Amino acid sequence: MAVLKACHCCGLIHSIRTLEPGERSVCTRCKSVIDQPRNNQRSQARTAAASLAALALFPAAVFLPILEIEKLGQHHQSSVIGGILELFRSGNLLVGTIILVFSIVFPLAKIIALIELSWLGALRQRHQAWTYRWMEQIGKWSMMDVMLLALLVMMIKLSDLVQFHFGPAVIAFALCVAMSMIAAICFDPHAIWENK
Amino acid sequence: MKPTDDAQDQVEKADQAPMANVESAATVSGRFVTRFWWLTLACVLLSLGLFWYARQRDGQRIQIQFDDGFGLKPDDRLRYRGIDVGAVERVELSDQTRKVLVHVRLTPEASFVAAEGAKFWIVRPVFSLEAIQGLDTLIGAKYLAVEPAPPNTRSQSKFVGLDKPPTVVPSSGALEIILDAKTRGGLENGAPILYRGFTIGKVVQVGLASDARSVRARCAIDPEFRELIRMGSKFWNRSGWRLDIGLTGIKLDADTLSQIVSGGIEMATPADGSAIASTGYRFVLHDAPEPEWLQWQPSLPFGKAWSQLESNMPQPIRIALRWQERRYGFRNNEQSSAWCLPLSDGTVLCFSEQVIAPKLALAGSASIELAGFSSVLDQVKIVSVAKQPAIAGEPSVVRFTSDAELPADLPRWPRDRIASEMPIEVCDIFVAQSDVASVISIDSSRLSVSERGWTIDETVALNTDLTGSPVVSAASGQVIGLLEVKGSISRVLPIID
Repeated sequence: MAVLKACHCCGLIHSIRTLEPGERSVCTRCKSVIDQPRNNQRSQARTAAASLAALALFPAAVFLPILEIEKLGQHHQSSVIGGILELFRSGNLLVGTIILVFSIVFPLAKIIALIELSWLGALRQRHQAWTYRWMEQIGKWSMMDVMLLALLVMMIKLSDLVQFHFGPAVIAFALCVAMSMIAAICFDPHAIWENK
Repeated sequence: MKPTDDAQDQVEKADQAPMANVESAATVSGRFVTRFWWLTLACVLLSLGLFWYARQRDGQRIQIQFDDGFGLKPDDRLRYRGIDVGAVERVELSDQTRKVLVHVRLTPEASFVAAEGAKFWIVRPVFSLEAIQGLDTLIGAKYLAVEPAPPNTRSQSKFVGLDKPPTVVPSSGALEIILDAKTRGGLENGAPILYRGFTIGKVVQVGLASDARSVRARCAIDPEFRELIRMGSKFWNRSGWRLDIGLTGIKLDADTLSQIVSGGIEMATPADGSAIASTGYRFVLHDAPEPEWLQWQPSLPFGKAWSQLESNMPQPIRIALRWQERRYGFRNNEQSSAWCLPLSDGTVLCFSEQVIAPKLALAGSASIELAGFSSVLDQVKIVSVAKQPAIAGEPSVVRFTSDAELPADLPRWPRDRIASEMPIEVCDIFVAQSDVASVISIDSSRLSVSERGWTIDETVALNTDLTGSPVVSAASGQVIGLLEVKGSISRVLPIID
């Protein structure tokens, strides 16, 4: 029995016959792999691995000092959480909330959503579809990578004025961003609806 | 639209879509099997490693309680001997005790600070008559300072901070004396005690006497200078600078900048300052020195020189030669006295002046008095005379015996500790006195080799009364000669048998 499936890469719709193990279907136009038997299992395994890795790195990225600033003999080091708390304390509730939501809540939600999605069978299809849709929406607003960029810009722009050191959290932060990206790429939404 | 309807729809339109190419590929392994798990493992380990590293780098946290925070704020430093050993994490008010709680994060290598007995205080600018301190905190940030506890004390994480820097703890062996003053007059803890402008100790504590009649300052004299403090020493307040405005202009007297701001206590010891003051001895703190005190210039052995000689010092005794002279037709009693040194073999070392009657003396009238005994000069036998260029009228060292029995308990100097020759090079010497406390120390730089023994520089004030005192070499501990003082000229004359 043939099914219709769009190529991930160029979007051309193909009719694919039922594949045997050891076979894979390839796009006629751009040659990228469209489908493979038990593809859903592979995508789910990879997503699970990468998103768990991201989850493991997340606390280190958030709680450990990310930036050490030396200015006129004053030494200051702060973590992401510490910076947000500092903003709250100084009364910048709006900015603090924005950073809290977009740098901590959304990225964490995305990682958890990916773990949930990769655990196929654990939830009902409809619930997973809802999670997927929701993840696609919040994923756009998960600004961890943007924050990393902000750090880099700050380092380049302000390095003449103050002395910068990156704390151990930077490694965790960068890797966490990379891992959640890998997890998102590896996830194949078709797997949700594929027959088991 | 339900997923099932969607699938139905796809099947219907399948004919219109191109068939995908099918090629062979490796089979996908089973559920949740992928090499990505290695990545997960690596990331978990990395995360744990980073936490461990950050904790390692962070150091210990301690809490210090202060009465006043003096504007201390997060990220202010904790310093020990001027370098950072930690930073203030946060400052808060405690609810119950109404104190300031300062939370400090120590650097990892400074964990020794968090031990029982460590003292913390906040360094802030202090302007007072006796000191300007903490100027660095005027422009820069305030900081905490710590004086750690001695090693091997129990570790602790909660401390009570001091209001001001800890009082100077006298080092072991320091001489503690008490000064009584009428008013405080700028006397502060830590004010220096100066001897000739040289710091020899510090004021440890200033407070009212128990009956409130005076201000009492406890002072610690550094161990190496304790011999400078004699019972007769005088102390006075030194304001550091003096401004005289007169018709001729304005005159500002000050030694150094630090003294302008620091002031302190100055002291002087007279030549006959008697015994060394012992711990707890009380002195009066005068407002100003008497002019005479400033003239005092005694030679006092102290420190290492002192400890060397304390054990073994010759103890000279007085010897007097009495004779009668005929002057203007009258018989006059004359006397000349000096020091002499009884030796272990029963002989006595002294100057020839003391045992040889002057030419003008009436025959048979001369006698010597020694240790309470008197004997006619005829009974005195001169055993040996120092061989030296004989100059008429100049004394030389002689050794004599007399029939007078010297008391058995009289200290006698061992015969073998008499140098047979003067050392070729000058060395530090001590002029022995009847009591060890008043021994005079003379530096080798004050000595010069002359025709007859060593000549002592005129700047060293020696009393004529000291003639005959044995002179001991600091290097060998032997008696190398006797001191002769004539007017302003003092010499060490050799004993050569």
